[in-house]
Amino acid sequence: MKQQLLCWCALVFPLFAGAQTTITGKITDRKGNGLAGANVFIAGSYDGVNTDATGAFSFQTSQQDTATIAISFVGYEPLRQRVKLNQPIFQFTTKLQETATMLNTVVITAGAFEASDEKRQTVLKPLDIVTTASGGADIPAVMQLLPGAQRVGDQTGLFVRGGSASETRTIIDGLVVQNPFTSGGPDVSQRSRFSPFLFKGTAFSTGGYSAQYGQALSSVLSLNTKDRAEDNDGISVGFNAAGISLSAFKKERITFSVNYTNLNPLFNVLKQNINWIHAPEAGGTSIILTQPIGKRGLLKHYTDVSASHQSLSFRNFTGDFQASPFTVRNHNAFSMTTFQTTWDEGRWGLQTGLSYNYNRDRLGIDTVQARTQEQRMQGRVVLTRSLSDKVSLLTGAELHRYTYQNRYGIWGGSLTDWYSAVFVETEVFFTRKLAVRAGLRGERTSVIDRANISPRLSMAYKTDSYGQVSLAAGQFYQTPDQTYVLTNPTLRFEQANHLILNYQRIRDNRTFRVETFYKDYRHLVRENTNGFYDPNTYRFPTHRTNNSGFGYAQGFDVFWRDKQSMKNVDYWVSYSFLDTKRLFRNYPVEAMPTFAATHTLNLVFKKYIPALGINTGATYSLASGRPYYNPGSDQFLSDKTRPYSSLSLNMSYIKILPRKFLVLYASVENVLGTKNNYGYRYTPDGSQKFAVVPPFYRFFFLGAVLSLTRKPIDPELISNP
Amino acid sequence: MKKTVLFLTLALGIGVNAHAQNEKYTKAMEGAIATVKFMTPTPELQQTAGQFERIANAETAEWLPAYWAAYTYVLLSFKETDAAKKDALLDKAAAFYQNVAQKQPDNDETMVLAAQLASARLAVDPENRWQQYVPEFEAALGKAKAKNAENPRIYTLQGQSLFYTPEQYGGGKTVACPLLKQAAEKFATFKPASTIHPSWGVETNQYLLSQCGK
Repeated sequence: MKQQLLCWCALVFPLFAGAQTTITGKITDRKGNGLAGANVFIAGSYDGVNTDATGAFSFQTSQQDTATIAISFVGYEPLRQRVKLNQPIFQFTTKLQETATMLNTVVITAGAFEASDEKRQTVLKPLDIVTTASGGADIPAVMQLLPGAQRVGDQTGLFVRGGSASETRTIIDGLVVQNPFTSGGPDVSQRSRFSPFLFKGTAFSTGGYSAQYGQALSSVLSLNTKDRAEDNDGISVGFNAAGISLSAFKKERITFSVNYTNLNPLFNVLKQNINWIHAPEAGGTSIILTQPIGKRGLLKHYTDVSASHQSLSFRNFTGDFQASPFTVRNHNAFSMTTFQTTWDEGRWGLQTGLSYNYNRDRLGIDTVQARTQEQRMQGRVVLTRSLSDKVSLLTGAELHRYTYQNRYGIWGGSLTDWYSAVFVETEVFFTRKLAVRAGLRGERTSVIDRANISPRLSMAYKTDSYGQVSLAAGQFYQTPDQTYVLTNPTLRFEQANHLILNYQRIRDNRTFRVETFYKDYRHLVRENTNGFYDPNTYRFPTHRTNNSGFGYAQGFDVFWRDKQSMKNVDYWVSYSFLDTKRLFRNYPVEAMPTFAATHTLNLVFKKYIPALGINTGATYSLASGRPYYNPGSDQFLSDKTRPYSSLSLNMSYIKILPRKFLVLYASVENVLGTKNNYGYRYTPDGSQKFAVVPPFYRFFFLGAVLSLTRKPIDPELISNP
Repeated sequence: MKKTVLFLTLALGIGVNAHAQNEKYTKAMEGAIATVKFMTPTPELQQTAGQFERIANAETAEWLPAYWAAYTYVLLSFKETDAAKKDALLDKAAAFYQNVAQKQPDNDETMVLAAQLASARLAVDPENRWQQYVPEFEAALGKAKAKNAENPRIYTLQGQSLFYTPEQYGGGKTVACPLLKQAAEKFATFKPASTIHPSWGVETNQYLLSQCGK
């Protein structure tokens, strides 16, 4: 009986029967340095301990025979190992692998500038777009303050490393935006159509970009819309010196906006260099809808419709130089719907999109009536697959239908183009220090009935904890400008080959970056003008054309940003050196183009004053003179303007009250009133000239935004007794 | 007789064993929870986090070890100065939070933990993260309040967040202190479900409230 009881007890309390094993050893990193604070334990039991300062540990376990030793430590890959506990003291020593993080893993950076909150290591943050002086809360204007881009005050668009404005593509969520800038009069650079508040991330490529994109010889500006609309219900009213905007939003679902701009009152106050017949007036409306579908799916829709009208007195290219009216009436619509989702724990990803662009400009140039109308419909599918944490694959396709109608006086025509593309890209991390991205893009365009295949390659190697070298190379093709294709459908693709080498060092809040590049242009379209050059940018090209143009651009740029050395101060310095020449369009000989400046320097400074709740900023830009056309000169485009310089200031004040949100802002462009000059326009005989200058030597702007929301900081909690 | 002995031993034995296991769990948890304070030195707090992780690993049916592990890692992130390391600690906390959220999706303490995690993420880089984490923080607390308006930690977190928000951004003592007072009242009547259920926040609340008069 007693024996039996004992027997039962042994069965029932098995825990008390076993002997203890001591497990001892050391946990180190890959190089053998002890890791302090790693958790070493027997899986499924409480037995375990954290390593001491030298990485050593020792603990007892009552586990018998075999056990699983588990090790976990912040910043390292967890490890599990089955062991046989056959001795009273068990020795266990192992190395842990560091987890791949933004800090210890290389990122391919050649030719790319990103502004994003999602990735921790980026040069710019989305907020920078609205807090940079002289940027005017306009995304392309802020990009112009980065190395590689140039400010060309009298022409519209993003000019990158010796490329013309038409060589840069603007893309929203993967879909091409046909007319990203507003339509305006001659000699005035226009703003982009899109509010920076729509986007969560901006990637600006100065070359060597991914196979996902095409039809841009120089650069891609890729914008990603926010995944959620406003996080609140409410309305927002904006007043500024030029107009009024209203928007209403419903939590995470709908944002609806209307805006009206009329620059007439402001132009009556400010001294300016343009004689307006009808100051710019514009109105528009937009809607954003977001709808989650399932757990990981997201459907987004964005439509923007606008109209504008302006008219000014313009001294044109005719002999008498008499001022004549120049009128622009624009209608624009942009609509896109995208759907994105992931499955299999994010290993598969799908992004699809459909969009429609419509743009119509009606120009009145003196007595000539001109009209262009463009429409683009496109569909895009991208599938991503992560094969392991080291290899990922991306593949996709695009189909566009583009129509263009142009009428300039008695000339004109129309065309329809079907454009299709397929692309595949893979990114491989050979080690955490070495990454390679290789891609291939195939395109076909019906209007010139040609196809191309362009390879892209970029790689990066991490030299130490903070620094890395990147390299990017590739072939880039673009269909010639519509006006050329209209008269000559036998043209071939224009081509650019890029080679970029970059070194970047980011430590804490300091970034240093230097990049050098070579760009080789081939098969640029040339007009056979028999040596005659017409500087009229609005002319309709009637001469015979071919692809005999060529050119190059080379140079380097340096960027330094420091948010750390001074409290509440953030500044950056960017410098670009550019050497470029090309023979294209109606150029009679190879020359440095009018939109290129050899030296460009930007100093951007921001300071936050906490006591007043005020953000202040200053931007100083300096650029060497750009070439301009002088018919009396022996050499084509050999005359250069004076250097350009401008100092701009801005200030903003934010006040958040329980259900209100108020922002006041003010800015001054070119405080010193420097008399900048963008070149001269001559009468055809060269006897008379007229300076092309900015619309204002000094420009002031004031505005306020007031948001009324239903529940910003949960007022229910505050009002509760 | 034999049968009775057999039956009794089995019944008692198993009962004792289960009880012993339960007691071991509670004891281990209580021991660890006692050290979960902001003032605890970092190495010791790391040991505590390690202990919670071990317990969570062994007691896979329980949600409290993972809950406390997540909370301890949040505290460790507040003590860390390097931004990247803060985020690494919070990645770890987030993994434990996921575990808790799976087991207790409808518990107000889970929602409070989500808010605590959001505020810790925000604290790493407030200037650039407020757009994402402020709404997340508020949404989590809003949900918690709808579930159980008597949870004092809701008001402590809300009050603490406002306490450190500059006045022109809608914060400051005038809005924070009434909430902290409300939290103190709720703490006075709040009884955790057991010794190992969430109970933190009293000291923080007292400290902040003591700053209110100044």
